[in-house]
Amino acid sequence: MRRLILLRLGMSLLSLVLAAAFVFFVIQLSPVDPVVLALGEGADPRRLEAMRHELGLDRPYVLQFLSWFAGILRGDFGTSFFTHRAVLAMLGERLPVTVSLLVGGGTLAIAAGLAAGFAAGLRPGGWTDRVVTSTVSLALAVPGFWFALMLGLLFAVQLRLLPVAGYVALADGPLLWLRSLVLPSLALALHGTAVIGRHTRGVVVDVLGSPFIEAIRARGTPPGRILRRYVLKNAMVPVLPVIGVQLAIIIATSSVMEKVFVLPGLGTLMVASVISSDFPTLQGAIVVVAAMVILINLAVDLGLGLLDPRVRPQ
Amino acid sequence: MSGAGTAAAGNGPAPARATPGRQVLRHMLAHRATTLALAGIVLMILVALLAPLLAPYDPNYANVRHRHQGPSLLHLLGTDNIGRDTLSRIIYGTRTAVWTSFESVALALVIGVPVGLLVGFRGGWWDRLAMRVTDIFQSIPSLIFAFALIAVLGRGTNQTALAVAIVFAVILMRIARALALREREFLYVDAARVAGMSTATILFREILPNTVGPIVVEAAIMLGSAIMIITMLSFLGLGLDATVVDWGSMLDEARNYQATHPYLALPPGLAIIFAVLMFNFAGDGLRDALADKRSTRAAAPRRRGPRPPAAAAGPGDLPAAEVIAVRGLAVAFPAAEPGRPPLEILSDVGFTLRRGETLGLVGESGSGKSMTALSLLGLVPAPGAITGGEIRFGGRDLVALPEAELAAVRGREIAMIFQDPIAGFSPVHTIGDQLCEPLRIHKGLGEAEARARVVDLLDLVGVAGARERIDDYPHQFSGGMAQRASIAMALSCGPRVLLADEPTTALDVTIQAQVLDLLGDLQKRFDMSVLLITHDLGVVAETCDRVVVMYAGQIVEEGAVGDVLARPRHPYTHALLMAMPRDDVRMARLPTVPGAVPAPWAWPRGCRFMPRCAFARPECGAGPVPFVAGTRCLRAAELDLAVAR
Amino acid sequence: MRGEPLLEVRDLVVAYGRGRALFGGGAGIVAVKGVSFDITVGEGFALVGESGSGKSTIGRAILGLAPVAGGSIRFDGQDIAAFGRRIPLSFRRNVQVVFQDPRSSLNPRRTIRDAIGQVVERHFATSAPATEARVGDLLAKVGLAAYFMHRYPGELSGGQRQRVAIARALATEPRLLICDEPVSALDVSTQSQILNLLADLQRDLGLAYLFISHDLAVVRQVADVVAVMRHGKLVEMGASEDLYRNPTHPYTRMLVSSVPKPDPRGREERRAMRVALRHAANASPAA
Repeated sequence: MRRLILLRLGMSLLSLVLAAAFVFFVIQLSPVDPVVLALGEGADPRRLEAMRHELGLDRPYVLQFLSWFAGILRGDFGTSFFTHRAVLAMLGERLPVTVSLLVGGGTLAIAAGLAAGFAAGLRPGGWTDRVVTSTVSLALAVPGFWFALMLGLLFAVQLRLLPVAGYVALADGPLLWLRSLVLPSLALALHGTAVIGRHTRGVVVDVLGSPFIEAIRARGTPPGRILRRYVLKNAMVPVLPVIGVQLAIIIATSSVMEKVFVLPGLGTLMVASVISSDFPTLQGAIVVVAAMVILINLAVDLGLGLLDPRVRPQ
Repeated sequence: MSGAGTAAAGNGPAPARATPGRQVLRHMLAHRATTLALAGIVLMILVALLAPLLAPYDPNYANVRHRHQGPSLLHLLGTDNIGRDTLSRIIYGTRTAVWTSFESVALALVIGVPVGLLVGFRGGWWDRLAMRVTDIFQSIPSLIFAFALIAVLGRGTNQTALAVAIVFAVILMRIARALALREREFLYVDAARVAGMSTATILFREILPNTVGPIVVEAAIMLGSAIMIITMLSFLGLGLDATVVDWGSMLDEARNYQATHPYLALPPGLAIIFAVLMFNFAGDGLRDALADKRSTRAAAPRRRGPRPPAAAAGPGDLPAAEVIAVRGLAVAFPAAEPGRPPLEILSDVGFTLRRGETLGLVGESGSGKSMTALSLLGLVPAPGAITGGEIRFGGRDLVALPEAELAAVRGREIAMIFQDPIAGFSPVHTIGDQLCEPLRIHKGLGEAEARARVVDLLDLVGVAGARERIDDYPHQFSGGMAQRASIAMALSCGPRVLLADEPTTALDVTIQAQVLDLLGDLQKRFDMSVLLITHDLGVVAETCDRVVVMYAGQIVEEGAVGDVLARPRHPYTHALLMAMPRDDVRMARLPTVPGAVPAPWAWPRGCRFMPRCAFARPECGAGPVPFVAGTRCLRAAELDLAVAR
Repeated sequence: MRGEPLLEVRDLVVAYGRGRALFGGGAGIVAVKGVSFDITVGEGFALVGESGSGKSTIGRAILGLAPVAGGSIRFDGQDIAAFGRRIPLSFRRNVQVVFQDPRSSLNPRRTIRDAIGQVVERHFATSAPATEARVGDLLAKVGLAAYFMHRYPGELSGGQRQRVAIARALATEPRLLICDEPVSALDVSTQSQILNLLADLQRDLGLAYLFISHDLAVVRQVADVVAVMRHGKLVEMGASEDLYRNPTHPYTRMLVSSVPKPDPRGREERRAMRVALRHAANASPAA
């Protein structure tokens, strides 16, 4: 297990470098010249040149990348083209919102998805299965942001139970924080729940049909014990990676929920920086998102290592 | 021309054959949901093509005097905040959605699939490079990557479609690569290489046709995802040109009037749901049609069949020498198509298992021998069920026993081992944990006691280093060792009966001999009765006292091993014995049995072996043949089937 | 005395799992460790052994499907290992294969006509009607009616599929046919049909066989010469008649004694002998 942890940690760091490099070089392909953007069209070519030199933009791309990435490792994400503030500070303000949404939406999706998947998979063809399967089909076709609008309409506008929009920091009151997260988390969890539920159902059906379950039944193990001890653990092995992918998707789609519920998270920051060609901010935000996803993947890999002896290095 | 069984290989007229493609379409249309989905997709394409004819208004014509109108005859779906006709905008939005989604998925297919197939098939450096690229996409979610691409490409309809296409191409590349890797392992690819086919031929004529199905399924679902992502992007203001009418930006506008005019969000939302639902259903339907027909049939909930009529004699104790007595056992599965009679796969199965004996249950695949063993434990897989007969065990009838009491019999009084010993263990629990289980359930032993007992048992069955190996996982065991461990587990509660279902078929011949010898020793030592299921008459001869021969769901012969193997009374037993290759003499020509074991729906009404029997007479086909005096053959009395040795 | 050698295998070494040291660095597995034998024209030669003994790997090496790490494989005097990845069509014509699992060795999405026809076209550049006629002939050779041409493998029984696989192998008019466990996936009653077919083809076409199997009784029916493998090496080789009558190597003796005989008489004696031989084989240094 120790070898597995070290191996995976190393691979995670490698992934982070690769992801950062990829983002950096893709964005260098942009026809937008940041210096022209800063000084305006038709600015004095010498001033453009001077600024380019000052920002180090006249160096080879590889060197630019290395100094940018070295900066990130020191905690310096550069300066925004648009607000001229430190990118790190901007990201720091936004991160808690995104993390809150991930925790809220992720918890809901995992809990509801697993519960629905197990309930359906244990009795395939039964009425629970039919309800779950058709709900999942429908949920997969409903756009999350439209679902969010409808939730807002019902709970905030009509019933006035929850706030329509806005974010309250945890420090300003846990209850208020929670209230501000309920609707966005519900909307975020919609697809994740459906995907996890659908996959879990299939896995549970497969596990129940596998030869070792037949063998265990033939030994007289009671059904409840088969479920708790054998089906659960065996089913989690293929479900865990799916949960990881869904959490990554939740991070991505929270950008849409941030817009619907007017929440100041990383997503809206990224959208704004795409529109204003604010590349340092965009790159920084994507690196932070990638780091979160890589952490999730690391947790999934280690979880798999705990569950399944076959993935542990010998 | 060699005469080796032209007749054997099947005669009769050649029925017309449908190509797989047509079969798939037929399967798809057999499901109403899939047919509806295909119709829905055609409808969307028509609306997209005919938008200028169908739309009542110019979608961008703003009639400010008609702002925020509800549905009326003039505006069937009402108007928006600047008085544009919502229906017309939905119709033109369909055009945008269909165009952008097909554009991006088509582009992704063209880029991703060939690259994926090639790197998967060739392997090596290109493959590793491609995998590193896809690894990066594991850490950057698609939507976020689309942000970066739009930052580079700029905003606009084609740019958005291109960004989505690139994201999808990477996903398709990974899928195509995995498919190529899977197909590459099949022997038909080796066979094509041995036949001298070029790489291009193998890739495009052999591998591609086998990957088209899964890729088309993926593409259908991607069309839905494309609509979802593109509307999401335009909702965020990153998507399409302001002049293009699309559902996402309609929702963005509706959001601004959410409190006052909530109705505005409804039409574009429902349009997206409809479109995505149609693509998803089409994809799912195609997937089901490609998969085995069996998997589309909904499995019925696990339930025991109608209780068969109680035996006339009522429950009574078995004679002391008999441990299990099966009488008239029948097992049936519901027909694949509704309205058909159920498929009986075991008919009138009856035999006795005596105290301390090894009884061989012999038959070819599909004869019903494994199903017989599973019936003894009440484990007939759903939706099959026992439909008649009785299984006497001690004073009880196992067919009538409630599930809870059956569970107490399983593993404690009747234990079972299976063909594939490694697959019989849960892969994520240690061997020790699993071996302790029956001891803890049935004997109520504590953890330490159970472990100590398991170590003894593993020693007993010849697992070397039992104390260390107890904490190993099943994949760390060889087949032979795993079978020894499963024997140890079966013995742990001191059962009276051991059911061994092809316990050595998956093992090498030397290991088979060792395991069979071990089973023989243990059987004597623990005074167990063993029901040994096998297809190999040699195994029967080496290990069994008596033998029961099964063919096509029936028992055709029962008797002492020496008698049955030297002087079989049923032509099937005789044919099987004669067809067995022998290792003591090389024969110019092996005797053969014409034809093959028929499937359950093709079982003859009379003697089920009749079509393949060398001794058949017309009267053999008249009706079911009864089991009389140890055999199920009308001509048993007149035939002399002695086997020369 | 044996005739002219068709295939000469000398000191063959086959190793897997090399060249991926960069990621994970798995040590190579040497599956075949210096094996030599000859197969003469029209001969039935069998490689016998248990799983993991390397017998199938030798077959794959001869077919160019496994990397040769040492030694030589000469067919008609030409060294196959020297071809590298590109094996000439002329060699392909001469050596063909029938695999164990006919379900996997036939492409499920192609008709029998396509499966066999493409081999005919590749090697003889025939016109479409000529190809079809040739496919019909080949099917007739293996005892299948011509209408099977338009079927898919999924519509055939196991024995019929194996007949198709044999017909495909015969399409190039090979001189050596490698049969890798050709009947072990089949029921006993079908097995003997295929074994008889193989014997007929050998007699009619003068084919040489390399027969790879774990089943000594099956091998007995087809082989003139038998070589016994264990752990990647040959432990004993000889004329089939002698080897079955008087196995000399302890492992061979244990192997022969492990085969169940369909005759209960004398089973106690056989069993005692088995146990004794088992001890002898485990003590033998070559094992």
